[in-house]
Amino acid sequence: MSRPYSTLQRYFQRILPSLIFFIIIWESLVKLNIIDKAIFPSLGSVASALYLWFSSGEMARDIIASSWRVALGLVIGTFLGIAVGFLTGRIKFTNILLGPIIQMIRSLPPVAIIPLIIIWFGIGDTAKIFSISFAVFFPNWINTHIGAENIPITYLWCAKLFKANKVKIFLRVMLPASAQHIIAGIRTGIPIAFIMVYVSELAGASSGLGYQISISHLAYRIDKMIAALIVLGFLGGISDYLITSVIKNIFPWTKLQDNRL
Amino acid sequence: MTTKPIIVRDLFFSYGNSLILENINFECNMGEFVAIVGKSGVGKSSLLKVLAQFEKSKGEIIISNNIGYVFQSYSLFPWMTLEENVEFALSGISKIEKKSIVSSILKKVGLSDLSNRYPTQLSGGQAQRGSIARAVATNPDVLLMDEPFAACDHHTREKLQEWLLDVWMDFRMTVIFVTHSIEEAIYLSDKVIVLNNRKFEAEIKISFPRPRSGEIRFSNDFQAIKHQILERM
Amino acid sequence: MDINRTLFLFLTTMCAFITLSCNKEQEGDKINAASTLSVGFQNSPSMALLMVAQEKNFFVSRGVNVEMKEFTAGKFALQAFLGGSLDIAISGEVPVALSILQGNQFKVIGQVVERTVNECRVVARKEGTITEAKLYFSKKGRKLATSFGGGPEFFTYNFFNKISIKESEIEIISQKPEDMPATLLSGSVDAIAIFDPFAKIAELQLGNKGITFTLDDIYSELYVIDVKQKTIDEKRELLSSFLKGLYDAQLFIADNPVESKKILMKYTKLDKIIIDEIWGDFVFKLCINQLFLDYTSAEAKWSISKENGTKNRNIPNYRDILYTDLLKEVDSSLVKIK
Repeated sequence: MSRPYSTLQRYFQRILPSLIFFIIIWESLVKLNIIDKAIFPSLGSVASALYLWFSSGEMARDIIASSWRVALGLVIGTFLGIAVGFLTGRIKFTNILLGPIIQMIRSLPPVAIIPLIIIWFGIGDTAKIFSISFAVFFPNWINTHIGAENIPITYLWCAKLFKANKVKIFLRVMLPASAQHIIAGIRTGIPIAFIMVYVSELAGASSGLGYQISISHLAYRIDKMIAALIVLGFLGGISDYLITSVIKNIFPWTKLQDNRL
Repeated sequence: MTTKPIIVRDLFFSYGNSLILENINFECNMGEFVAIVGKSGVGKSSLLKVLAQFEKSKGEIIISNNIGYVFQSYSLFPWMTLEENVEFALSGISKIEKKSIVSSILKKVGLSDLSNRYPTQLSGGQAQRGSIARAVATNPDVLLMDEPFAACDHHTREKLQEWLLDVWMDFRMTVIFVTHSIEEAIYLSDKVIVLNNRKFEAEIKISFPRPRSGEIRFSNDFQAIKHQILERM
Repeated sequence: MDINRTLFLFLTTMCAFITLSCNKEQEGDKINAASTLSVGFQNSPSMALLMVAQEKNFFVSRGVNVEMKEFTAGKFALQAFLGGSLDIAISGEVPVALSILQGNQFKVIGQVVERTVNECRVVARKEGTITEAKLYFSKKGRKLATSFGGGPEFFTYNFFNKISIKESEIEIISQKPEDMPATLLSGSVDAIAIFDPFAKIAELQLGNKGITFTLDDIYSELYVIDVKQKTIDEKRELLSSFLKGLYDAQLFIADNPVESKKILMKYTKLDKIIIDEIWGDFVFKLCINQLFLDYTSAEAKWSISKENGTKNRNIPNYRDILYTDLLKEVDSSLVKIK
């Protein structure tokens, strides 16, 4: 198994040429006045804004504020999505009762219910975490539902033959048998959580990355806005990488099924 | 209390509106190796599932409740190592006992070196041996096997047949072995049950002495029995 | 073979459809483009001159077609304008000040209000018998929502300055104007600082559970007409007609307030009671006055002081962004700057 450090090293080596090319293009567009620097600032301006934001201490405050909202929303939405996914995927009655309603609600863009959430919960952290959990619930639900529905019957027959009790069957057969689908649901939920934290902070916040993007935008500080977007994107990417690494250590056999070139 | 481990009387099984098995009657003796043959779709696998009580049926089935089952595919849990798979079969005993039994079984079936491998890291033949090891871990009274070697090539298949007979001689449980290979059925079993058109067609005794060698496949008696079975199918 | 044929037919049909649609649009555009100005605006009573001029066809009679595009706040109209989607944006002067400070380039050719009075104010949830703003906001943990990047944010700064409360003692939350009344009602915030009609809506919803803090002599927002130099060069006649149409509306409003209010109700979908109550907040006169210059300079100073070490430390000369010639053509007395 390769060490995480060397994996990261290899990753950066792979993206370095592309990154350098991108930086050259960006700076050229601005320096040659091909694009108005008021609406598309130079990389230097963005770097400077990033540094000032960091040194003021506000970056840490904003990252912490958004991160814990995302973390809590992800955990709640993922857990509920997986739990309900198993209920609807394995129990016909539950699926008849809940399935159609969940499908209907799933079609609604989560962003559209933000005004409703403000009315119900206000604009505090409860509202933000609720909107994140709400949005994250659905990809976890559908993926778990499909995974649970399609567990090969032979696995369950085996477990029955070996006189395993219901808890053992769930924890040691159903859950791992659906793991690939569950992982897909979790990974789909991560960028959704970051989108929702941004949207919910737009609806009313005094800290957070979404808040910072919004007020920078409103103050025409495009450099600071891009800086905040970079941080948001980076956090999203890192989160996916970290969560995937953790999952692969909890479910080591999933690494074996990676047959990419 | 009956001494026969399997008694089947007036068995009917339907799947939806389709009748799959009709009026099946047969018995097996203790420690007997019974093969079941028939054309594709005649209900051989269904009969095994009904015996294992995976499916509901009408009629009478008397069978031990300590059953081992080997599937054609999706047998071993891919998320467990071979050792963990075999361990899963055991319940109601301490961890130390489990470890000891698992170790002994894997040694018996010649898979000790592969105990820490996942099923995806095993060859087809190794995986099926692992499945059989797990099935016999609880020392079952009855072992039901549903075309376990169907996916193997001819050479691997013959080796597995020999290996299975060695394992069976060790444990001596009653085996019901479903196969579409008549030669395999005759070579392995003490009797062959022929299913035809959803019904019990015939029961043909195989009286070659044990241990059997591969050459009997070429004997006239072997070919005669094969011909007899083919006629009944 | 069949699948390939079906795919080919489908793709050909799609291409034909798309081509025809594009051609249709272009034809439509060609006819009107020469005499049309697209105007982005905040859908609020402050835009009375624009709404009345459109409704009474003053623009058409002056020789210009005006395509009106609604936004929930003027700053969003300004952003669309900067992005090239509009010929004109009518926005508050704060977004203009901030935008120019960050290097954007455009002109201001007029104001649609001479001034406003208490148009922006603080609406709060009543607590006991407190009626004084300083006492109210001295309590720890107060939360106030305002609209960042616009007049309400600058008003908030001036408001707390006036009552000697440090902004850092209050949790200031950024919110969209239309979300604020509901947030105040739900109790998620203690107060909102916002312009009409949202301030009025919040007051009506809270009823006697609410209290309004106003300070007459501090900042009250202006609304200005933003245009790019390129548009002035290429569509000067149309812009002149546009301003004349607004002036016609000004005269009409002065003589016909009742009908003007009805027009506002039609465009803003606000109730009569709200329109009646806030009508007095605005002086609907086309002009360019000293208030614009005073406010924008102060706002630039404030923005610079807010940012820690912003790169742009020079306050722009906002007089340079004024283009008064067009307004002088309507009536030279409309330009009132020193």
